Amino acid sequence: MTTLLGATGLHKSFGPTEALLGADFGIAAGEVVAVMGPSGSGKSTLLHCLAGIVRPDAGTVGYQGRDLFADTDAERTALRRTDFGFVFQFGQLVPELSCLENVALPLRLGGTRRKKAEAAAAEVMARLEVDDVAPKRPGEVSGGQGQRVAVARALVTAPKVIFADEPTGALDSLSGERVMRMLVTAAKEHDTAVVLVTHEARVAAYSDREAVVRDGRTRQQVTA
Amino acid sequence: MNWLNDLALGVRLAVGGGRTLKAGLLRLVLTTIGIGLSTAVLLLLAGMASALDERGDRIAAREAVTQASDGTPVHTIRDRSSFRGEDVIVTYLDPAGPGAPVPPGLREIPEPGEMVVSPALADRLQAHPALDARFNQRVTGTVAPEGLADPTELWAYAGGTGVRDSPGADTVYSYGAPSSLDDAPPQILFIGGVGAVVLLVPLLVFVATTSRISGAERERRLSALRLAGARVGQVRRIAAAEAVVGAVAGGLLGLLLFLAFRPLAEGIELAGIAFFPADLRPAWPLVAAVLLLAPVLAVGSAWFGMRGLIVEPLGVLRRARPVRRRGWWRILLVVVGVALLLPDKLLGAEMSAGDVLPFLTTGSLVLLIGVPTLMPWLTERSVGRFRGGFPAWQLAIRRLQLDSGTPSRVVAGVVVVLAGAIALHSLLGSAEANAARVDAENEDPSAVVVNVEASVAAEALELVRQTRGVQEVYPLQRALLYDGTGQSGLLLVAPCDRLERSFRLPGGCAEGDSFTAGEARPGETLTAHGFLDSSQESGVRFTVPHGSEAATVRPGAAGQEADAMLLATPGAISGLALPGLLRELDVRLDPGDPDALARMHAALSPLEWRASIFGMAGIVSSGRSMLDVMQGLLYAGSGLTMLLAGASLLVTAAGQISERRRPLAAMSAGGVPRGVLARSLLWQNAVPMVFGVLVAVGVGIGVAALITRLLGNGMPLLLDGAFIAGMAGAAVVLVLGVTAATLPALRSATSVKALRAE
Amino acid sequence: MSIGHTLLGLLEEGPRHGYDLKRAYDERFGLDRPLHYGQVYATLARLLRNGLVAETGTEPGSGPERKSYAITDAGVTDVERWLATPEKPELYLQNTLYTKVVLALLSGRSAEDVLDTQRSAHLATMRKLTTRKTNGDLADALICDHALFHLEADLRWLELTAARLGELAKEVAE
Repeated sequence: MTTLLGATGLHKSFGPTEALLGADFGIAAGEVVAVMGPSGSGKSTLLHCLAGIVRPDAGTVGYQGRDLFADTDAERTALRRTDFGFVFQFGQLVPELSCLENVALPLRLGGTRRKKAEAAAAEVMARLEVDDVAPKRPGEVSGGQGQRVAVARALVTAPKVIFADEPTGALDSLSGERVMRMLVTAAKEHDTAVVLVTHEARVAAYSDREAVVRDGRTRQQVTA
Repeated sequence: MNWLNDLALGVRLAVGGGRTLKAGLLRLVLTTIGIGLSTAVLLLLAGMASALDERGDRIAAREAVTQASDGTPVHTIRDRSSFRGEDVIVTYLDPAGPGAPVPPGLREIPEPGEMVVSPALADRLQAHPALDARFNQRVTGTVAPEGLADPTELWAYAGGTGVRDSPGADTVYSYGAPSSLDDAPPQILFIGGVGAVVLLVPLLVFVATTSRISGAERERRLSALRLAGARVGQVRRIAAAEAVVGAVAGGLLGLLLFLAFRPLAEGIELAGIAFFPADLRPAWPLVAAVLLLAPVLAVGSAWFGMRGLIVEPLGVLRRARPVRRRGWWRILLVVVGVALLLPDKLLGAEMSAGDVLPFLTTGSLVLLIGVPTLMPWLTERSVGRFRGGFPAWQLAIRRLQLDSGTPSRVVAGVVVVLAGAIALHSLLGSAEANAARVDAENEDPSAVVVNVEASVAAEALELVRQTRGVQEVYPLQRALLYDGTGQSGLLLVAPCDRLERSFRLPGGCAEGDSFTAGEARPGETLTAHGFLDSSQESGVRFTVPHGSEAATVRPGAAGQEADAMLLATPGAISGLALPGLLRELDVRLDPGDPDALARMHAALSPLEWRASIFGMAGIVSSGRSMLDVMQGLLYAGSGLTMLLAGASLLVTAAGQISERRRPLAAMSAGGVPRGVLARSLLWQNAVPMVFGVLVAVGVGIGVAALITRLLGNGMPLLLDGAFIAGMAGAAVVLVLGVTAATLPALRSATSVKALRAE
Repeated sequence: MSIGHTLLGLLEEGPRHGYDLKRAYDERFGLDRPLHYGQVYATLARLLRNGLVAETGTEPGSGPERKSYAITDAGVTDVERWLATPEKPELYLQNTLYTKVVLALLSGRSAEDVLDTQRSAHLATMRKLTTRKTNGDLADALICDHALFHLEADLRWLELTAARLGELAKEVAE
């Protein structure tokens, strides 16, 4: 299994707080890896470094064989738009755009024409069974629907990696299960890797394996 | 005492509220500065009103009373000349005896050869030898402020001999007329009313805007208070206290700014009028009103913003879905405003300017208030039609569709000011252009007229003739003529070549000839009057000499020559004892010699009041300075409002960014370039502003056109494209500036910290 | 729950009499079910037979309670293997897991490793259940969910324990 996205020896501190103290990580194409660990252990910081949002103080992040932080900020921004997708706990949808427009947004930003982008968005939304809320604004849909719209938005560019940071954190069990099932199914279909930050075992159980972050270090166990 | 606690809690929330202490403080500081600025300006305006009052009183107090009464009079004559475009006014005083009235600002009447000058004139005399050379007198003192209209006035009193013998002299028995400002012309009321609205509306908008910043955050805070056990009334009190803190702080800041600015007022001249700092003392009721205005507005708009909201412990409910803005009453306001500006059409009667004015004032006010209330509706309707577009545009438009109220309220303030400014400017500009047109007819910088007393006419002629830089000089005399039917015209006495310059004299001209012009016929009996003593009885009757040939005025001659009835060479009238002939020297200077005028002034200085120089270039239509003052106020007001609008926009934009931290951060994490977000902010600010500018230009021009139609007597409406473009440009710069100023907030909002769960 | 491994773990601190062993066990793990003497001696006899403990001496007097036992090298290896082997994820594991964690702390081994190993095993089981649930019918899903929630509860207890290991280490050391 070749590593699609990997990190070695990541160090990151915010002022006096040390979030990462030499974390390593690797994920292959199509793999779903749960990043677990107690709160404050540096899970989110690891995700932010892997996604090229936060520059680590030391260590490297490699994506498809290139050093992510050797690129310029603009290149990383473009990469995040084309190759990565993001699902956060909440509040990631643009409140004034309709759900359909939200999902189409990454394509529009990439220069796709509106009609085409929205058609593609509608298709992904249908797969996630949220096509019925397409004309509504995010404020008018339920939490679970909103998260599935967010998953649709993350998927719409057919990314290589999806970063999901507590994607079910604000949902009840049933809605959470639904979001996870659809996220993982869609990812598997498209050979998309998923970095899944969660503290819930039932959510982590959707992964292929887990990486545990404790005190800024990772312990990875590859299970057969 | 419980409510005191509520208020204290509100104050505490205002100071420490907000997502972070920093955000709360920023809001407070911006509110304070904005309200402080407008309070300071309103105080200044109130101060200026009382200063203008004082000024009027002082001008009235030095007004000469010439009605004969008991006591010893003083004979005065006023010499008004110009220096570099400014009027220099010297009053020569010749007391008839001891106990003659002394003008205000003087301790005693200066002796002949002495002069008491205003401080500003003293400075000028020091700085400019050429001005100093005009006066032969010794400066022996300065005129006290109570004798001056304002600190920049170039004003002097000089002792004069022989003034009493001049036909142009006034005999003054006392000084001081009732102040004329009480019956201010209705135009002032109009300008004042429109001006006040133009200044007040932005303040209102600003206060309303700042008290609604971060509305969602505030709602959460208030519902948390309900959860903690606050009653509905308490929540209202807390919200009021919260709103009032910034307003009170702003009021205090405004007071401080005003007090700090006041001593500097002397150095600042607002378009022709300067003020004595001591005069800038607004009346107490006005001060109280201004200081109370902002807090009252703040509380009012905070409560107004809470209408339809039920603050419940577990969140804020809206009583209903936000109602679609209804447009009919907004449109009605505008229609009523326009109708009021068309009173003649409305009432179907011819109306005099005086009758029309109340209509104009109320009409303009209704329009200026109606337009900003129309703005949110108009923006909502227009923006609602937009679809699609590139992502930055789409983000901005969708944002506006969700809530166009706040930005368009801010812009409404700009619209009022812009519309008001454009309307007033177009009106004033048209009036000014009219005045300028009149001036241009007389304008010829090389033509100078010297008024001379008969006693020194020959001497003055000689002095001028010998001045270097004088190309030609002709002695002129004038008198008023009446024929038997009451027709009047001018008697113009000048040498042949001067006459030929302005008239076609078919039979040639020789000394001793006379010519008829206009209605006069040879042999007709006319009555001649002096200009200064025009009672018909005192006229001298004489017969138009037989053999006077007819002359025709050349095209392009000055207006007074067109009025000529009879032309004469000096020899033709030598036998007539005409009274009060106005004697002038018609001087033509070398246009290439800029110092010629100064030399002539110096040459004539020994003659004092007996020869006073009137540069044509210095004659400015009297309407001009008033227009200048209004325009100055206009520019100051527009500039200030633009600043306030900018502050409001900034506060709103910053509040929105902090409310939308999460989606912004998530978008940035998801690879949306910050440029797209910045551009969406720009569009979000720019779209309402563009609407605003368009509406403002339309309304402004419309109001100006309607008013010109009523008042202008066919005066053409002149639109100052540069001014309009300048105002529109200022709006654009404002939007750019505000957007640029919110970029740091955007950067911090899109930083990864905002992604962390709260 | 293996009493044998627990006794072996306790012997790692040093040789003890059977009576001491029972007391140490009851104190730490026997909250609601203290050991019977008979159980202790039967277990010790089995360990002796398997060569995992050795008798180290007899004090004057007689009877099994006078004998002192020590752990052998084979015994240490056996404890090690036991600690490193995750328990089969099943319900109501607390007692065993707790014992393991305390013993790891007592013996200076990494209690975190014990927990990580266990979590991994739990997750592996949960993954299987999740797969079954995803592919199965509603009845399957409900049964799987029951197990999943219980396993999750175990894991949450594990996480909590891991977070409080420092505190526990202090108490154990007393």
